[in-house]
Amino acid sequence: MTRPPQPAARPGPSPTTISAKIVVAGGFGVGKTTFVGSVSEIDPLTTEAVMTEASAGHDDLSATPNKKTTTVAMDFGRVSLDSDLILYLFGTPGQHRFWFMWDDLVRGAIGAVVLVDTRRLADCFSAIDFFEDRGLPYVVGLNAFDGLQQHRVEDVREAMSIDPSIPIVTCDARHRESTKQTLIALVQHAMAARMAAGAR
Amino acid sequence: MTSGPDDASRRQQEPTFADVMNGFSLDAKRPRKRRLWGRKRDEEEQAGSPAAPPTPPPFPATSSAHTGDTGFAGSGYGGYATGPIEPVRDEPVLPAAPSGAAAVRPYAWTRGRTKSGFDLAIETLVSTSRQGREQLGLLQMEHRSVADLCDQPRSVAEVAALLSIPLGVARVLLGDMAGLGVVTVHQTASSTGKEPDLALMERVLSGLRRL
Repeated sequence: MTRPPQPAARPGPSPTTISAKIVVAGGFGVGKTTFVGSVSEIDPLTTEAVMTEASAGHDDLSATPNKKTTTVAMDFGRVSLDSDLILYLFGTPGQHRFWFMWDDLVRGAIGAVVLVDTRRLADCFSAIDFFEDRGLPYVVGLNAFDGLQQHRVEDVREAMSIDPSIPIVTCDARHRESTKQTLIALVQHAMAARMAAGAR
Repeated sequence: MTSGPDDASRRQQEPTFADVMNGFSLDAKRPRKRRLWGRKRDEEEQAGSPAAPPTPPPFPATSSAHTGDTGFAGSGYGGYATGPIEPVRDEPVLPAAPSGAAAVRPYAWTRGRTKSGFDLAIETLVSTSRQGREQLGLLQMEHRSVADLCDQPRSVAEVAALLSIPLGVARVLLGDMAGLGVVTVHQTASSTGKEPDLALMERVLSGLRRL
């Protein structure tokens, strides 16, 4: 805030730099922030949105100051993929009832990674339902806690009744390479889904 | 009035209200105790007089912060009976006096607005324009904080997180600044349509592979 003004001669940032976004969802404590942090070039930041509990994101708070408000926090990270391309990874707010926030999150997203703790499969159902409803491409990432995969991928697919067209990958949210491969799987899946939709 | 500090606006108004008070009510400047003792009769007088009632409501509305008793003593039924217009006219003064200080609630920065004229997604990048850098010293304080931060492209979410302001506030601020030409709003993957296009996904894919 107290930085001196920049010299006018300094070339400005290229206005052609563009951003893309990937959503990371999953139940509370499944490792979303760890996943984001393992590949982000910055420590994951937290941003907050103040909203009314009842609102679907369209209410004007200033008109109804007595409405009960709530704060939704989400973590996000940033990955510079090129000199003019930045990818943002947004972790969804954990609370299921904040759908309005999710709408904002998924708008314009390439796709979503749904992280799953195989010991608590049910935690991710609401996220999967939401992405299917919105037609957002997603992959399921089975996060290996303690480095161990407790269950086989096909068993999980059956248990969760996940369509065979949805990729399920195993990952370790703590490791950059694993996170990277999960993201690659998602982007490939999103591109395939887009091309399939275009061919139809 | 909208940009002045709270104290300044209060100082400007106070003589006005005090004058009005003096004009109608002799005990406006009396010490607190006397006012309280005389309250009942005073209110009866005000209720009976057609000229007096409009004066009490605005006074407690603006000055209750520094004289705790006026809110109690002045907002009697005399005020409720006849002065509905005065408080309405007075109320916008309170939220509309942001000082830019840290103690000010974030929504005061936006003067209560929750919508921005620009469609800013959470990942939309903004960067300080050349005009913004040249005018840095002339910008209002909160805009200057943003302009400092956006010397390199930052997303709306980053601006909110790094300035510790809610997302909605960052959106309104950035929308204002974009309107002033102080910041440039960059394209996002979805700017052109509803969904990111294949070419961009291809770039993201190869970018991820290079990581």
